[in-house]
Amino acid sequence: MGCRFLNRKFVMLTICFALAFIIHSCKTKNELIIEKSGAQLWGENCGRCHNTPDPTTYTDEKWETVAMHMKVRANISSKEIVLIKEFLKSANGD
Amino acid sequence: MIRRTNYCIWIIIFSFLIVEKGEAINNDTISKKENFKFSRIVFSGNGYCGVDVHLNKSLKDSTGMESTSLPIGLAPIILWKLTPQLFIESEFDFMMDHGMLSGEIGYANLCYSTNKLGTIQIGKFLSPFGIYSERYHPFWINNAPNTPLGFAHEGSSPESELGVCYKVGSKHFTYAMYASLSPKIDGGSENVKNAGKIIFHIDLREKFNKKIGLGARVGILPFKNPSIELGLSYKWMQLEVGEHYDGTAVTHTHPSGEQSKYYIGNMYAVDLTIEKILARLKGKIDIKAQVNYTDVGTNNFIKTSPSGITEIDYSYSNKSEIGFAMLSFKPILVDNYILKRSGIFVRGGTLQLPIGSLWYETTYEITAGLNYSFNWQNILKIGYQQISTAKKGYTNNILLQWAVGF
Ligand code: HEC
Repeated sequence: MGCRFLNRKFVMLTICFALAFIIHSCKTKNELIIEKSGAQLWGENCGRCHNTPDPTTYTDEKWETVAMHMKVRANISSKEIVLIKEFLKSANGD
Repeated sequence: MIRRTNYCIWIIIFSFLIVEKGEAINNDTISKKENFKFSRIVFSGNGYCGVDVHLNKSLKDSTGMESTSLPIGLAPIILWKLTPQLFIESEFDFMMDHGMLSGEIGYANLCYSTNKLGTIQIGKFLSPFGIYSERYHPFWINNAPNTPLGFAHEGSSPESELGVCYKVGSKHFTYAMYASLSPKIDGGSENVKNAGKIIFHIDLREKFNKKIGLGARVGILPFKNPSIELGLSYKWMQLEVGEHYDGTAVTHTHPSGEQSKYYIGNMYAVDLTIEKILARLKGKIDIKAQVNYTDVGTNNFIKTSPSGITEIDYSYSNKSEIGFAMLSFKPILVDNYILKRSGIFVRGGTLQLPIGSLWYETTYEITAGLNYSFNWQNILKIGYQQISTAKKGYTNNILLQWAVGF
């Protein structure tokens, strides 16, 4: 009785979320083996929302902060942001 | 009862996340001994200025809008990575339009981020409902010279949330879940015509709704590279009705006929991002789209005269829909210096407000134009916009905007 207000869209979306979690936890081993370089990840990720910033835009210290900002804003995985950050710090001439 | 069922579903979702251990990293560079470093404070921000020329002067709307406006905005940002796990992000927004200056905290929150368990944000954060508010609202990022219909400041989509957000991302999936203060329903105290509208904007200086709402977004990145992302968002709200205009009342009745103090609102959004380099066309194509659907159930609107006689009494289904889709192209692979920094864009949008309400409106927009990027954060845009509304007919606008990030 109490569930009569639950509309179908809500249930469907919840199922979608749950499915996404389940699929996520079923990663294949192959996927974990293929590693991308920081430079490649920078090229693929940092131009998705805005034009790609050049590594020389910031010093090592500032990239630490900005990388954290983008990790949170773009929901980039910790693994990928560490590689991107290392690339940016190695390529900024600092 | 609905509340209990909703909470149960949310507890199940959160427990999935706790079980799902996130991305453990072997080469974790975090050292807990690191001290606070002031050198890790970054002062950045963005600003814009523009001219909006409304060509159909005869179609000045009832608010007495001028036929030309000069929107200006400045948003200084302070970011600080306090320790390897703790981070503060804050932005203050100043805006000026039609000669009116306004200012408020855009966001200010503390993030605790660990490699294994994801990030928790506490405070005022940009709403992860869809993509527009969180990812594309700064004008140096938006390729068009204005905001899509319904997504503007104080529009029909949540801009920011006050509460707690949990985020975790991996190669193919990103999750954001949050518990935040619910929006309010306009009781019509300032303009009776607006009674029933959702006020997403939370102003802590005024009496605000203390009821909590819940929301989530799942981003799916199906391919090896992140060039395509599909997002699904859901938001559940307990909306309180704001103060009424004299003699009016907006009440909510469940389908069962029970009266309730709070409206229960459900919002859904689907978003899409495609960003791809097309070597054959020597350029980059960029597609961004978002559709929001809001349902707050049935509203009853009653207006009584001072003598107690009912003047207006009607019900309507408080459902609305807004959406936009934008396509941009930049020939970044051509050799010509000027051409590679230029771009074109086309945007379509719609705003459908509840049929039967006093604020009912059906509006469509089409905006197209050109832009030129002086550098990655500095862009000049010119566009032509046609807006068609059921009530007012067509309006044609010429939009010019210069936006910078710094
Ligand atoms: C999901 C979209 C998105 C992605 C992906 C993204 N950014 Fe951003 N970026 C933003 C937004 C939005 C802002 C503006 C922040 C604001 O104004 O609140 C921004 C701002 C910035 C800034 C200006 C300083 C700051 O932190 O506000 C820099 C630098 C930056 N991004 C670098 C990067 C780098 C490097 C990457 C790749 C790891 C990246 N971005 C990926 C959305 C994104």
